[in-house]
Amino acid sequence: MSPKTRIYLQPTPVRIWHWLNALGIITLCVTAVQIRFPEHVHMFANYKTAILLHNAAGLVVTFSFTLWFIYYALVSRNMFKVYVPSKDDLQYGILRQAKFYLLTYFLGWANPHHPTPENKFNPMQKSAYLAIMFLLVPLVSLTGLLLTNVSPMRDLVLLIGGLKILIAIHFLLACSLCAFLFTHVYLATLGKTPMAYIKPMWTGWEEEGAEEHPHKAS
Amino acid sequence: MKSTMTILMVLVTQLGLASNLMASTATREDGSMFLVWMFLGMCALIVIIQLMPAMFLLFGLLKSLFTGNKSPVKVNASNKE
Repeated sequence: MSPKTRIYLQPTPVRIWHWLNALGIITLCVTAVQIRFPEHVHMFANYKTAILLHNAAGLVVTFSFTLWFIYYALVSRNMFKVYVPSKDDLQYGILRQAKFYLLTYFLGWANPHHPTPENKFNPMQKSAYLAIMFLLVPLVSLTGLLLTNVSPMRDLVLLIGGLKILIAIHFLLACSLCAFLFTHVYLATLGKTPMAYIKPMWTGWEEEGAEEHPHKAS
Repeated sequence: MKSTMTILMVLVTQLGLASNLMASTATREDGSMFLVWMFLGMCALIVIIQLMPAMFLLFGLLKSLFTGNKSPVKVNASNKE
């Protein structure tokens, strides 16, 4: 029996960012339900509690996003390589990966993408994370910060179209982020075992062959 | 006697109102910040747990640095009993 080879895929700053983000976004979604529908949802003691918790979670997500940006832009300096899809990814990679998720996974085929520290994400992940990390999260954080304290940036709020428009933008962006969360968790369970992709995100180490199909004939 | 009773009545009424005020203040301060602190505590726990392997590694490095690198003792053929 050959010894299992492991690769160090997720460095400590990325793991801290990921789990702070996970806890923060789940807390944001749960508190947002009470803030949006206070007359129907009573998960927390009162409205003020939901607002305070929502603000705290928002600040944690913004802080962890800053940590993520500093790490990739200044420390590892491979943000472009990790997050931006290549020409080949856009031409063939996305279709190949979509075919795997929609068809060949169910036929027992292996994942066509094999992660390495320099090429962690498959073409579909790259495209999705590019939109999420460079558009969705910054915009939802910015609109959230504006809503936390309106008066200092009153002119900017008016420029956007007023408080109602700002709330609508924040709500729609947050809904998109929440929708991604379900897809993210589902796709994270498609490894060799349901925890094969989740464990490396906690420990940093991925065993080779984690992307193999769970029902592959040995 | 009548004036004493009046003073007592006023005092009792005031105490009643004050207890209401205290009760309402306590309710307001109760749960709001507790959940926020619990959330921030969980965040701190995530950071600490994730930093633990790096801390152990650093501790091991410092330990080996201060205790000195002990190379295995070579046994000479002449020292054999």
